[in-house]
Amino acid sequence: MSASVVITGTGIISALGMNGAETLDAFKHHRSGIQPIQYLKTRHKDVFPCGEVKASNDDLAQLTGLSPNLSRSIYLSYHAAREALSHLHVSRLSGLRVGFISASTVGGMDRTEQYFMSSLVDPKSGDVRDTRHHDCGKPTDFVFRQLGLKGFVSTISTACSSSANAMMMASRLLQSDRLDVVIAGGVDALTQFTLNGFNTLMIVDQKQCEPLDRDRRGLNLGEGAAYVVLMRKESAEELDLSAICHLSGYANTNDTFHQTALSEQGNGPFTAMTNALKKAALQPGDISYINMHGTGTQNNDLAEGNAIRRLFHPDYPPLSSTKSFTGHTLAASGGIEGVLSALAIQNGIIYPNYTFQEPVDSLEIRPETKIRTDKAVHHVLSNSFGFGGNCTSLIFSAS
Amino acid sequence: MIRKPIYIQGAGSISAQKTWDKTFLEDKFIKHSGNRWLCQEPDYSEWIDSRAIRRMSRVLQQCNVAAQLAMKECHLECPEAIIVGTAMGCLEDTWSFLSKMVHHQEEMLSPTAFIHSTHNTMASHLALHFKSFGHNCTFVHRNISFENALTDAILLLEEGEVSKVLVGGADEVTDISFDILSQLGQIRQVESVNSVPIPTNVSGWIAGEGASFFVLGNEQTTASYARLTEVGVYSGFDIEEIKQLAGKLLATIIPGKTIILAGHNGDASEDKITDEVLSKGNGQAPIFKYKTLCGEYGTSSSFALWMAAHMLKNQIRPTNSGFKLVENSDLDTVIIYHQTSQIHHSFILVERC
Amino acid sequence: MNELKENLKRQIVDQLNLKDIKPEDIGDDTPLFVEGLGLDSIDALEMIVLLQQQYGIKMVSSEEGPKVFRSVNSMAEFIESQKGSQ
Repeated sequence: MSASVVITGTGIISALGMNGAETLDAFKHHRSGIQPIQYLKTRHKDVFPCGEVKASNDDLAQLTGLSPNLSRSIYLSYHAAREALSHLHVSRLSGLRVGFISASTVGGMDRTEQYFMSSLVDPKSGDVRDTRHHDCGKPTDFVFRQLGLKGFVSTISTACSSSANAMMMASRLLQSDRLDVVIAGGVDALTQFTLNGFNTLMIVDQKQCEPLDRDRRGLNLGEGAAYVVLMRKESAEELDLSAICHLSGYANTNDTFHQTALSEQGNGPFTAMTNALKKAALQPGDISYINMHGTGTQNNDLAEGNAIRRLFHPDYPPLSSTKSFTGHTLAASGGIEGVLSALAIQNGIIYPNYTFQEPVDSLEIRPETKIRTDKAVHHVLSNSFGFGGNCTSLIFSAS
Repeated sequence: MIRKPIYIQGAGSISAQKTWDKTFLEDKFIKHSGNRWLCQEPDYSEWIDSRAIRRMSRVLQQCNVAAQLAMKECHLECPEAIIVGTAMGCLEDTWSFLSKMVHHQEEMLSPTAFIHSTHNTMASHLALHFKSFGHNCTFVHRNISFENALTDAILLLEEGEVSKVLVGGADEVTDISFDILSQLGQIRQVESVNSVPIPTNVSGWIAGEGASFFVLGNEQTTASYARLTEVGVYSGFDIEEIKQLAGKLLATIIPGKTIILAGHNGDASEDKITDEVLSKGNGQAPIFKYKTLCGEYGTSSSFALWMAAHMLKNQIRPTNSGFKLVENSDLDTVIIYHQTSQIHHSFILVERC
Repeated sequence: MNELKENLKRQIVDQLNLKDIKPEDIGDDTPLFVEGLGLDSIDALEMIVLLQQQYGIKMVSSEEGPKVFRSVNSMAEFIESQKGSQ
């Protein structure tokens, strides 16, 4: 029997708010964070609404107390990691083997863009030092040091399942007794690179996205960061910390179908969910709520829906896609949805879809449309699927 | 503290040396000139389907062939898990999309470069190639990306849910990244002399690249190269703490039976740190500077692991010109030490099996 | 029309980096996807860019793709019809 891994702290920043309380408040008032672009410099500003964190880089520098001119990912990551650790001062970690595992797809791409935009126009202009922020490990290292940590640090990049994999890796390192405490999650800032990239795939919705809807048109991009603090149950008891929930199951699979599309029957998603349930020693009927990957693209929602049908039919638990509130935050999405799952258990909440009209023809899946607080939430299944067929499912369980 | 026996069952590498056909092991080392060492490459079209290759950047092709080489050696058709470490990811496609985005002012962009720019493209291409539906992960943490990938593989094999894992490290150097690194002053500004070892009394290093892949498994077979016994990664410590940690590891050296493959990259200030850390070994084992063969890149320790595997299996040791047989077949352990920029220090220990 | 088709074949080979196919290997009615040239959904997106870059035609959704990109003939017809409507 492997050691039980608990979550003792969470931190989250997204279009819905700067912390956990603001995030829950947005759900309570059914307020979507998807708005016309306010901060990102792009010619598509008025075309694609996005889930931006409602703060400029200067605001974020001030809020975090960090110096100006860092990459946006650093601000977001540090802010969320600090909230996750707010219940546990770093001094209490001395003598413990601590790890920080983050996730990213763009690193400090915003700074690289600045350099390219200047230097490609005039080779003599632009500050090449901007590119020092480029790689995905940079924000992780910066935050690792800023938090005063030493020991184990890592960054995972598996597209949209990145931070789900960060949490999974954390749990495995704890269970194998290689680390005692891990802060795990991920970050992605919205950049021109990603917005334009997704636009070339013609899967970005020009309106508020409508995941799981028959008439869905695509995804909205978002940004943010989220982390959880994980440790073995005994460590939490020794530190006198109460557990918010357990990370009871996880599985990482590959759909192995196409570089940017899931197989229609959702083979990778099906295996990820099935194996995560097995890991948690649970039956489909035990799941209280599914936080779907639910991007709002034709392909994802059909594949994920089919996989859910294969596993849960005919008794579907309540389910929804919170991306209709946050936008798709890419490498951060598994972290954001992991934190939302933990908060769902802690507060007895089931999140709704922002909108929903008609189900997909071949599927019976109808997401919740209003926030629910009428039932205890014991086990939450959180899905994160990405380009390259990377599929990861996590299960969070009440302690 | 690896808790189950883990063996290197297959190894494939594309590097600045002729590792892909293994003539590297017999011939004199290739001495490159200039400060950017490109890979010695096979004809990829002999290895990769023409429909697939048309969209693949060089690093993707390198990954594909290095992985195929490793898989072939142990007659494995489908790995149960695929794990890749890459410090910088698919740079060629990243720069390509970024440059077009700026030049075309965010209009009329094509998707292929974007799709292939994501860091997980290497591992997902391999999943498609080998039809592997299992665990698939990509680590992107600077000069410990490959070590992180190894750690994930070790965990998987310890957990016992899989018995064979394909794991590798890959990075590419492109025109734009070389130009950026040069402007940042990280690349050696003086022309390198074609010599091994590289003179180390100057500032800056030599940019390298490569892809090295391994099949790791719990079983020892006659084809197994060596046993992986430790992957130690230490981040954020000051030099004195690192020296202490290194001291513990290096204390296990048995004189005459150990060789250290050290990650000196030729930059005077970097190499001073590397020397200081390795001084804890008290000169008990000969040190070979492996980056004099492959150049500096984030996942260069994967090249060193390929070397270590062959050194142990064939009982050979590198000299300044080429490999030589070890006297009395006395080589039991190879220790790989890799550090850049002094933040992350890694040790990989491999033993004869 | 013939010149348009020849140009299209060349442009398809270039844009999609089709290594062992020559423009003259593509018949006017050769299916471009699956059983024909074996192109896929990423190629469809590339061809949408091709139409925009070379012919100034902007396709707003990828849904028209399968019909338009069935063959060089269907592409040529689509381009002509767009010219007519502009």
